[in-house]
Amino acid sequence: MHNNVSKKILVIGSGPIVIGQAAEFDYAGTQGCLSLKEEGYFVILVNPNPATIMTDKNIADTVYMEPLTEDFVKWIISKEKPWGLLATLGGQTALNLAVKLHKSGILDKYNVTVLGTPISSIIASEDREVFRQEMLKIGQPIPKSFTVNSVSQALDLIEKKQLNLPVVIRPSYTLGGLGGGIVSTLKDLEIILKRGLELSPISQCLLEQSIQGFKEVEYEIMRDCSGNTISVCNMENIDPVGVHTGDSMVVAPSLTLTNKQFNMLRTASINIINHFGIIGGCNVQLALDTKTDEYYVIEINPRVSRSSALASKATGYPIAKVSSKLAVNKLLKDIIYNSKNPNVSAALEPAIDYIVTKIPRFAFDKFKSEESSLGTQMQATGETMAMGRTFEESFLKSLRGIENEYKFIWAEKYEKLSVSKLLKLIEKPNAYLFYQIIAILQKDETQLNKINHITKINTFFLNKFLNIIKILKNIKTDNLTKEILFKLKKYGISDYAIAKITNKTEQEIFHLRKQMNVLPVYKIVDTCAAEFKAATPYFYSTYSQENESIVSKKKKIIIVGSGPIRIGQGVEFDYSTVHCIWAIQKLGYEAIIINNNPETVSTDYSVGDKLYFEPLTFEDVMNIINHEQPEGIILQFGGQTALNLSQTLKQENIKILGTSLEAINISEDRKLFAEKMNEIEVLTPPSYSTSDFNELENLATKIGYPIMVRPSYVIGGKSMEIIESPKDLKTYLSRHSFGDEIKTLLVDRYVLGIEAEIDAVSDGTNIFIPGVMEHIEKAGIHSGDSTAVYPTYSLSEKVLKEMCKITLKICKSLKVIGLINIQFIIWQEKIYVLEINLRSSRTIPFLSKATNINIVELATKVIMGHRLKEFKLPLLHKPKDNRYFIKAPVFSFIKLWKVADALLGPEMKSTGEAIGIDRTLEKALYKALLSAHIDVLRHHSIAISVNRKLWPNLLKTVLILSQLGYKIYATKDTSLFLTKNKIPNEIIHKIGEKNNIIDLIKKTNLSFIVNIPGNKSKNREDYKVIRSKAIEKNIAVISSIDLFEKIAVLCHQMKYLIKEI
Amino acid sequence: MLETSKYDAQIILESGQFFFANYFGYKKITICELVFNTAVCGYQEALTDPSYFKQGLVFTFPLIGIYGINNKDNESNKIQASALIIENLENDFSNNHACESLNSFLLKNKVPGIHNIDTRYLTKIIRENGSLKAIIAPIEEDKNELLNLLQKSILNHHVEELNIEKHKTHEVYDRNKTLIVYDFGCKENILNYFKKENFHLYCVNHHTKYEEIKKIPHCGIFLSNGPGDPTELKAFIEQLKLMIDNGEKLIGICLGHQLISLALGLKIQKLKFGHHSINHPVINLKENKVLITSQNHNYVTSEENWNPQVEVTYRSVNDGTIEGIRHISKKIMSVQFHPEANPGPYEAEYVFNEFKELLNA
Repeated sequence: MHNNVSKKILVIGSGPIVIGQAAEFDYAGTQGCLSLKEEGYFVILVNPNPATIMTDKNIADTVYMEPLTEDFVKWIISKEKPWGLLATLGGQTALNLAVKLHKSGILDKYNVTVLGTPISSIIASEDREVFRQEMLKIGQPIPKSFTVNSVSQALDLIEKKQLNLPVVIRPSYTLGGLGGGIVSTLKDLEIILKRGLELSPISQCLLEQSIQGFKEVEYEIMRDCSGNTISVCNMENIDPVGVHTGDSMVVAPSLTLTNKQFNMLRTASINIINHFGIIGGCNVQLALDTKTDEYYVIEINPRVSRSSALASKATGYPIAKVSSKLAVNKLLKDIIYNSKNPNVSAALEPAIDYIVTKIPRFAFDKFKSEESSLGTQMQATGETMAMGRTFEESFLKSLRGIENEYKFIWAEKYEKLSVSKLLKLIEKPNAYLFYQIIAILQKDETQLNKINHITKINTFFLNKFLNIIKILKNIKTDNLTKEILFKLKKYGISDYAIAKITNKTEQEIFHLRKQMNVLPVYKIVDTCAAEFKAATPYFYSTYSQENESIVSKKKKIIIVGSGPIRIGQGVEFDYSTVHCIWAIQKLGYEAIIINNNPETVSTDYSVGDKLYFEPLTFEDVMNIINHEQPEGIILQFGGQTALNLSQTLKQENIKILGTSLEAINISEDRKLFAEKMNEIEVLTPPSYSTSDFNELENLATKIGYPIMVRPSYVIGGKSMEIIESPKDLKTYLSRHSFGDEIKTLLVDRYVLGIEAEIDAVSDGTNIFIPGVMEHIEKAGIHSGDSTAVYPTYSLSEKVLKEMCKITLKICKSLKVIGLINIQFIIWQEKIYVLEINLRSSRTIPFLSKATNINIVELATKVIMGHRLKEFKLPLLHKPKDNRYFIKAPVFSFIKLWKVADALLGPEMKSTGEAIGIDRTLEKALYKALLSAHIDVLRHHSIAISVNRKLWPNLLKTVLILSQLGYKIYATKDTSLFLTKNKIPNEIIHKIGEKNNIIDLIKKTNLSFIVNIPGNKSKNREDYKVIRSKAIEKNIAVISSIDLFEKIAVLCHQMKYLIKEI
Repeated sequence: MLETSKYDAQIILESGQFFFANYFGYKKITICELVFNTAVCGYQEALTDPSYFKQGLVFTFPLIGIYGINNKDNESNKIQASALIIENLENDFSNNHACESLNSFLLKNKVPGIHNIDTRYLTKIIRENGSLKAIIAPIEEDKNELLNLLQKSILNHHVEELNIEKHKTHEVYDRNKTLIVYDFGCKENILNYFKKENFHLYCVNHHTKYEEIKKIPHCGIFLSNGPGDPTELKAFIEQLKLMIDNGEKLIGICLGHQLISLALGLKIQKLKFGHHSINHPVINLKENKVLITSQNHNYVTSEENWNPQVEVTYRSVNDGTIEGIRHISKKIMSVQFHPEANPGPYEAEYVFNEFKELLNA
């Protein structure tokens, strides 16, 4: 083989996390980079997402955290002159960018070879019409479609049976399929088609055979450059066609297909990817009409994907790793991907001997929305996966890891409703369909066929749901014999559920089981269903006979991961978890990881010494502790999910390493926290907590408005709001129904100062602060949605020193061991501590990248007993070079438009983050925003509507932009104010009038929109319409006056003047 | 649902290990050779495949019966396996083709099934020990007596005991179209492929002498798959040698391939636990292309005492064993894997085209 080291490969990452493109690309990217390095290549990576393992220096050879735009990547190419480009690891973002680089001739100019699937195939598979034509060419069925210009034409098609009802009507040239719909009767066809023809500017509609309700099946296919193919895994969506696969409950392998159906679809998938000449992994989605066995091709994704990550975890076959090797022309049969299973080459189709269930995690609970309907656009933020040997076990294990607002299968909200109401609800696919089905079956088992008829969910799954209910009905307090318990566990009934029914505690059930020896065994995920001997250290629990997880004699530590990704608890925690695992291994211990998120690096079995793919509940974690008998357990890197286990584990005398539970309790209980801070003379904003919601008003008056209200023990500031008056308080209480879980509400004085935060490592006596970050936005916007700057830019040395002092004080008094995150507010020369988190924080990966310090490793060493003194570190690390590092939040509003409002506040809304690095703050900010898909230098117009309180701050900023030649559009009041101050502007009229915001957005290329309503603004609804219209058109909405100010300065420094002489 | 179902069955392995389980299907004492199959679906095809005759089929996938039983997927007219051993049985079947449950199918065929057993553990035992004999019996039967019975039992004469009758598709023989099929327990789908190619099939059994066939105009002879040890069919192998000497065009699948190997002077060896699955990669050595194939065999052509007149056409990617051969000068070719699939992937079906080319040449 030639000398590969001289061969550089550029890998494009997927950028910041948004819905539909999440942690799975860190998992794939990390594997891919390592896999190429293994083959001797020099890997250059571009990815501006700081919260990723793949951008660590030990993964790729050279890492650029620059924006994923044509320009920036072009500059990198011109500097690095890579031989090859691998674009199939970075999701749609990387594919699109590769196509752009190809089309603009950059790849040709610099002689860069596209590795893996040829660019022409990528283009052909991405363009719907080209794809259609290609499918027709090779005789693969796609839904039939016809264009019509009249109703009679349509009726004719139906009559001649060229098209059968139901039919999808898509009016031509209307945005987002406006005016279309699915019709199942001739009458509806006439009505909707008539309207569609009217709406279409060319009076034309596309009629397409509807495949909604068909069985949705996916295949993950691998193909090498010689045309050898295998199917890694197939998956069946429990939710039929119509719901995005990312939003569907999914099982692997497919369960309800016969061998012939299975292989018919497998053959189709292979034929398709052969036709496109795919090299690497490819996802094929198919729809099967279970009445006729006819199938249709939905789409293909010629790259690694969320589904491929799921398939990798479901089978133990690392698709990204193998794909990367295929991209450099290795053959499937020559690849051994798992050194612990050397009998198996990548050419063996994985065999599964368990049932895998994936359940999506949604953000609807967070947005308190009644609207939770699902469709063809993905809305889930994350997912859990579980394995079991019965469907019930697999499904219920996955469900109990989901951590949504419901416990187990019970949703009181739906149990309260009548069967007829529920039957109405399930007509529309929605995020709570499962709970609604359970509620119906609990009331009336005979509705099963009707549910099948309405939802088209296969009766196999419905029968299983019913079986769960039947099993539960038979649980009685006095009959928990060994045999019954075993059977309950075999069918996945959680200790929590048994406890609830029998009026016991989860712990009591655990002990009862332990006493009766009803304990799970652990089985290996070996990719070959035990056909060959394999020692893959990848396990799942089940209730069966043989235990394959052999406990080693080494000292071992269990590390608990952070579960499904949700807003507020994202991939940042997986980053920390992975670094903790590595640190534990370096310290000579066996690192055992428990996690249930298939998208992540931490659930790659090659990361730790042992992976238990299990839910993160007391029951499942205790089972593993009981089996492994570790030295201790580390919870502080797995976010709130892991930390929430401390209480119950402590009661079982499990050694929780790091900061004590007492300290954690203080940090999480506002009252105790305030007392403690008071005791050590640290300022906190006046605050109270109360479990009597009627008392709130008095407390608010005592503190003085504005106040901040939120429930205790929540992730990411859920249900947190700033309230300015008693009236607002009443509205707040009426809008939130706090269930059993929320016992206490917290009330704080809302302090509008500069926000800053510190992440520090503490050994209880000494601390090390890797860095202080300053937020551009003033207090009031959740820290996760703020733009953080490292190093700080406006804080004085004195303030920094004082902050360090406070941090030391807190760490000493709470005996913090490990990580601490402190949020500060600097207001009127005083430093307040807003909150502390005694765990890894969201900013750890960002700060690690910015300082080039492995903060988690250091923290882990301290947790394991090392003293900070040993490392001879200063109290505060001084920034090494004169660069600014900026972390910008990234939002997925375009996916969540139905439920989320783009207005920022104390409740976190961002799904990811981007990093921008440069010598000046402005350049760094520009890059960070660009990576967050906001190009503020693009176009020359902005639209402003700002509440009057902020007008004084606004003037200076608008003037800068105006002088730069920006055209300023402003809503009525703001416009009058600007005019009065001699800033030329154009008025935006109210909606309903001419030249309103909707017209403006349609006709004008806006750089961005500044939209900051006052709390009491009468026209809040108008503001909201502006935001939602902006989201639809993908225009950035700035809702912080501070950020607007910084952007204006940025534009001033970076924008060229385009003006006649 | 939750009533504690006590175990009512036991399975004792020749190695002495035993498991408790629950019966389904037809309750009776059965002695069989255990083989495992890692396919997720295809239980109906496997159960009715005569190659599984006298074998106890262990499925590694823990939930079997989901899509029920239909009237299209049989590979012969009845269940051929001696027993079905699975972890969990599904009775609430759901599929558009299904017409009865797996349980009732076994009951009708008077074949016992057992479930509630750790099939992964059992599979590992088979993997470590090689194929094992086992006895399935009601739990009240005496274990020692059963073990005794098991040890005394001999599982042989598979093909003989299948009692295959002669049958044919056409009354008129044609030297271009008539294919002689030596049926040792031929899978239905193999015949289907030949029928699709418009062959007239004249099916005979292993007792049929070459002389008898010679009289019938035909274009070639196909040796089918089937159960058991190929070396038992000594008399037939002698007949086969006559066919080879006489320049007959020969094609074979699985057992047929092994018989051709023996007749060409090659040796056969027994694999530890065989290849029984639908995911086995096999490399086509001529084209250097890997196929995923359906496989079901305990015996394999050995590399020892090689006949230089024979070339290897396919090998297993997993263990390198021979998966196909071809005679250098004579019109003889055979494959060890199952190009007819059922269960399994269809990507090797082109082998039937190669068969056809050979027969037409």
